[in-house]
Amino acid sequence: MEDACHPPSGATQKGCFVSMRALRILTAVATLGFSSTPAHAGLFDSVSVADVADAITELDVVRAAKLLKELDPAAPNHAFQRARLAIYMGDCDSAEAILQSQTESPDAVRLAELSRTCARATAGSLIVEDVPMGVWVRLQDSEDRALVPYIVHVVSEARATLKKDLGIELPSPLRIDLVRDLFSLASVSGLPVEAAETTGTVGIARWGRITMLTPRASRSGYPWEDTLAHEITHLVLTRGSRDFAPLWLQEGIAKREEDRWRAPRPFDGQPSADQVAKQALLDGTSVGIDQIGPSIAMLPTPQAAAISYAEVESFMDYWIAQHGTAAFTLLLLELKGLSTRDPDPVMLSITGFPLRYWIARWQEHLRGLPEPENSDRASREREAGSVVQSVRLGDLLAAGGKLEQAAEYFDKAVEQAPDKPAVRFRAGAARLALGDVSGAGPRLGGLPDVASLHGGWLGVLGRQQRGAGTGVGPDPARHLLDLAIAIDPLSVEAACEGHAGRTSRTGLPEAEPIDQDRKRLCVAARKIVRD
Amino acid sequence: MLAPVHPGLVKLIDAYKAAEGYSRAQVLVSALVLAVIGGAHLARLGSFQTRAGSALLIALSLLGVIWGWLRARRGNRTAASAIRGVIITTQPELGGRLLRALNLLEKEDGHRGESRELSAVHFERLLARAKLDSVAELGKRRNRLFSRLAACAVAFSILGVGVGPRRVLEGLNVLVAQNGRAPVEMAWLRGVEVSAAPPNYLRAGKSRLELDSAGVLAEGSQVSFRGRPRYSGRELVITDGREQVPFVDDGSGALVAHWSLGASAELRVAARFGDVLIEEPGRVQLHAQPDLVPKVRLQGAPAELELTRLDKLELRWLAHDDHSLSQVDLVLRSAGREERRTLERYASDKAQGSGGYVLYPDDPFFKRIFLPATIRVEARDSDPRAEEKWGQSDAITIRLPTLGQPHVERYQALLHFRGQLVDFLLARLELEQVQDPKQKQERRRALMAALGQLEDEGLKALSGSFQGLLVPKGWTKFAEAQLELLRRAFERKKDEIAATEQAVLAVDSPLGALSTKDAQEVAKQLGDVAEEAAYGAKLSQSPEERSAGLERLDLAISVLQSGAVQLQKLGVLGADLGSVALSDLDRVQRSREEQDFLHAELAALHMAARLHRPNPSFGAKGGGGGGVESGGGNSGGEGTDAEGSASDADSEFDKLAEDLAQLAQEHAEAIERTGSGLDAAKGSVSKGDLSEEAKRRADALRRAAQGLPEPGEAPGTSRASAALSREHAGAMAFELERLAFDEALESARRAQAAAEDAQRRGLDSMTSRELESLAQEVRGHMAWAEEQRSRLKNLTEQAAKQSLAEVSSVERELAERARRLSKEDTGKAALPEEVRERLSRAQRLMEDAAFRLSGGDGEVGLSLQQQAQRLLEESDTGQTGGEEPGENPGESGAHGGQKKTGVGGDVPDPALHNGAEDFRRRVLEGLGKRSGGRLSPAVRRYAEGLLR
Repeated sequence: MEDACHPPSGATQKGCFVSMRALRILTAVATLGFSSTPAHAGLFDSVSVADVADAITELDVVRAAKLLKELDPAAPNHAFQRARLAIYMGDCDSAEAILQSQTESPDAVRLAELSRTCARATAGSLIVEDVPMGVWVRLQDSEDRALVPYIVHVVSEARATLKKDLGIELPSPLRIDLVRDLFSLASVSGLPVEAAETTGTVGIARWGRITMLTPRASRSGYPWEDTLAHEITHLVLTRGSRDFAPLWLQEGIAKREEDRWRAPRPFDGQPSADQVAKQALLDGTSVGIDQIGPSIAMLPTPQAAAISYAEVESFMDYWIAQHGTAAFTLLLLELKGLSTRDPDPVMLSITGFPLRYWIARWQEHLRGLPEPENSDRASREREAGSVVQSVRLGDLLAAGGKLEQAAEYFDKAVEQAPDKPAVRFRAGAARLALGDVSGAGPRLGGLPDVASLHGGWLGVLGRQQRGAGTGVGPDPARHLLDLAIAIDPLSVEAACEGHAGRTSRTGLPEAEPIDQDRKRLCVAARKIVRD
Repeated sequence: MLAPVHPGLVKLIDAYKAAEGYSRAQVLVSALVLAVIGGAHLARLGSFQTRAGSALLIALSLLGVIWGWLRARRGNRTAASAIRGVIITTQPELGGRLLRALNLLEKEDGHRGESRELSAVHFERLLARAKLDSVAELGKRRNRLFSRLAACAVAFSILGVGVGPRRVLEGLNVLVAQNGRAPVEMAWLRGVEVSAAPPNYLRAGKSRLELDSAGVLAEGSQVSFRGRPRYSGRELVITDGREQVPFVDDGSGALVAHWSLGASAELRVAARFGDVLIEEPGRVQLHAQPDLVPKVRLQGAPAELELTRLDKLELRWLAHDDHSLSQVDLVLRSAGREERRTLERYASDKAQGSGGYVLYPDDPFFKRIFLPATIRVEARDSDPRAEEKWGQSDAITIRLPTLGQPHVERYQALLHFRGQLVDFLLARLELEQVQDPKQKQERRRALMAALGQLEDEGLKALSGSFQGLLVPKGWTKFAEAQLELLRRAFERKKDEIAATEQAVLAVDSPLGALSTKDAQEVAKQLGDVAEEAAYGAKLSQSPEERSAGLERLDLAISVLQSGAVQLQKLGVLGADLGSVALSDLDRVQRSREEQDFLHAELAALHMAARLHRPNPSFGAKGGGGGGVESGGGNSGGEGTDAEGSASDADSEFDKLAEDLAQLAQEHAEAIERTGSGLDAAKGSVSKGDLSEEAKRRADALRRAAQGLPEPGEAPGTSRASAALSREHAGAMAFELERLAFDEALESARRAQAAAEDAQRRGLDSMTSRELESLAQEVRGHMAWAEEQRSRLKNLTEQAAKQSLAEVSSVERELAERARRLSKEDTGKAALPEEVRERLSRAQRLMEDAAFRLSGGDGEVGLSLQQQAQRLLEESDTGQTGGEEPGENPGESGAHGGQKKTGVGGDVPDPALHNGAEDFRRRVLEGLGKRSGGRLSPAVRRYAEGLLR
């Protein structure tokens, strides 16, 4: 279309051209100004579906709801965005209802299916909201209510850390679905259940919410606190980059941030991500930084998933070490600003080199790392068989009430595998049950004696070390008991501070935790039926 | 005050009346008559409007008559009215003046000063001017007019009656009808016949009924009224006061109507006039007797029985109907499921039936349900008018075991067995602490006794049924083999503790696999119940179906609750899935308590889907625990919690069992090959011109037997034996013709034996000679048959030599495998001694068979192979996790590496493989043979298997 320019009398054609140009510049400036915050409707623009979509992606559900009210209901994808907002707010019922008639778009069909499975998985669930702390938890298993105070604590700490590290703050409330099993995790998140079962996914950040397995799903727990922090990081990155951050960046930063919210713990960083990545590079089992696919949870094996995690963590550590945190923050802003998932333009503008260059540099760095210590894996595996036999025989005898003989088998197992906390736990607990408190100590050992953590072992060890504190500095028993909760909160020994049953062998009632939250956790743990 | 009629005026009036006469009254009366007759015709149309119009017409006429009468009676009582009636009509001007004069005269005291006297004079003068003749003329004119009118009315009245005097009566009857029924009954038909025909399915004859009588008829009977109409043009009907059935012409001048007797009724004939019926005086009072629903009695019902306590349930029933039954069904119901089994169908009249049926606890219906079942016998009435008219017996309610309880009981029995072994280990460990040799010896004896007890009672306890569930055969065999290994260690007095530990761990190991399998099975069943709960919740969302829905939902919830608790007892996976089920159930219950049935349904659907996928809640495939999203293995817990299989003895045993099954399978194929080789060789051997010679000999035999007694002689006599000998000789002739020399020789031997028996009992001389002659003939042909058989056998073996040699080498290889299996002892697992013994015997037979086959002795080799096969099949141990036959009928199938033999397998594609066709051919050939044959041992084994 031709621009119409009718100069007033006396004005030249040039003047007209100049004023037209000025107008265009003004328009461009205005457009740029608004385009830098496209989720906000411009002063002269009406609300678009894209504005709503962006607001939802950035987890700003309040603004998204407001924009939706202003949006013309006849706008294409209006219903889809309404349903999407409902899902982000955890209201799968409404989403299902909205999408019932939306069958024309494949996205709508997929979202409808997710809404359906999510509505079923969450129907009748218990919702607990801590308004002051901005945490909303939906519990599929109402017995998990005892975990809520601990969840709130982790969310609070992780939020603060991420705000400091990444400069991004999460809106309140943060929504968490604590589900009972992998099947429900898949139902609520939309992750294929086969993928969840193949890789053993324990948490996922999708649809503006965190869906996480309850620690009761596992017989010996899992580091659920770090999982929660990891998933919160994903939400922060999604908000910060409007979900334009590539997967390797997302996962790498999430791995990096998952333990920065808390004080260091034993075995943090073990095995080292660098070493795992190096080994994979040398073995030819490397997944590749930019070859992850749609999700780590959808990689073909849990081993591949573990390697991939190590690689992205190692790579991001390397990259940030090279360029600093500020460069990383800029990277996120650029991705959001350019609205692209292609990292090369951003990498080029910030570092001067594309991604593949940095991958090559990182691989070079890995090759230069010192060789890891050779573990005597073969002999350990040989030993493992006899350890398992001793433990099993001990378990069978203990179950039959033959604690003395069971203890002997456990002792034998401790000799064969002294670095196994699960074995030490049995040996120590058996001695305590026999009333041999002094004998329990050596069998339990201490943190330097084990190669990993075990909730029950930490609980019993904490009980043993109660009163051993000097009164100055942190109480070691408390530290161990907190660590136990972090690993296996619903293990009776972890939750009940080292006391297994309601009554001791002498028939007297066992001591219960004084702290009310822990007491509730102890009650919940004792309700669990174990084989 | 009215002025009195002036005498002059009276005169005028009298003159007028005299001239008019009674014509005025006549016209009024005749009009009334006409109105009544016309009104009757109008009312006969029967509608409300016509009846109202008619009534109005008659009422108006009557009012007219009354008015006329009153007027005539009152007359011209005042002067003014007289002037108006008589003078004004004839002399209008004079009449007017007279009225004014009268007006002056009637004024009191004259207001304006007029004199009363003067007014009277004025009136008199004017009256005098009135003409008497004119008035009389007026009276005459009116007389003529009224007379004519009256005549017209009378004429029309006559016409109205003449058209149909009965119509007038009908019309008047209709006119005064109330509630659609006329008050006066009228006869409409003459020669009325009433008959009743019961419904066809009752197969009863017609009966006659009399008017003004009462009767009892079967419901659905056809009551027919037939008669000749008294008057044409009437619409006649049968009515019970509510319904009407019109009469129709029967083609012979009579009218007929059929009334279907649905309920008791008083039937009358009536004529219909619009909305009104005029009924006949005659009536028939009928009482309809309904066809009652069949009554069914089920012996012992109502009752509640526990399925687990039933060996069988014998159902005896008795069904009875007032007319006839058509079908009797056994109806099994549970929640929404229903299964009907027809017990009897009756084609003809059968008012009573009885029978019995036996239900077994393993009935497929009970295997598919999880909620209590009701058993009823229902009988269907033969009444075709009702769509489904079933009478049902009281119910026998079958309470099912708690879902998962049989699995738990079996699992706990196995745990108990393991516990006994753990106790044995404990006792052996304690033996180490005993120093006193005497005490030690005593303890040792007790230990061996305990071992013996384990071998006897321990294993015996596993052989029972756990509410219909059996311990897998492989599991028992495995345990038996472990106890044998343990006993051997104790007999050697070496490594006793290690052997006991090994036995404990070995027995412990397959428990995990079994409990996992059981947990998955129970979880799937619970998933079905959860679907039922979801359906109940769905129904509850509808107010109309809430009651039924809630009942189903609550019942399902109670089953889920108890089932989930049982599930938790089934090992690690059971504890996990049970806990998931309880958690989901909690959501269902919470929603149900809040009357939020939609969410109850959704939660139940999720629960169903989850339990139908009974995988662990946590962890990655291939082990390694979870933790993908946040590095579960890095800083976290130990993951596997020192788990893992402490013994692989069960795997080794299962491998042995699989090898054994494979061996039996391959050996069966080797037998097939031997048989096929022999068949092919027999087919290839030319029998040349034997047929002709055989036929000649057969004829000779028949001729020789002709003179002997026919069958039918007194049993046990010499003549009966002679007849038997004749029959066997005839059979020999038949077999010779078929060139079946084996069978011919067998018949010959029997013929000879019968002949000897007859001779020994004593015969008359003639018969004795005949019999001797036959015996000689038989002996001669026997020699020939022997010779031919031997020759053919040699030829066959020659022809089969190559293929038999090949089978021989296979057989030798299989024998070697059997030997290895019988000796195999990994130290952790071995086959039970009894099985090893059988395998050794089979191995020896297989070696013998291989030797014979290599020598071309196909028949003997085949026989040995078959004996060996029998031993191999008897040696089958099954695997530790294998299903027992019949345990899960819908899922029968492979045991380890065996081929699937489940019901409902694929139909073999004839284009791909002709095995099925071969088998069919061989069966047909085998059945074609009279006895013996290569398949006979297999048939015998099959029969024996059935008997077992």
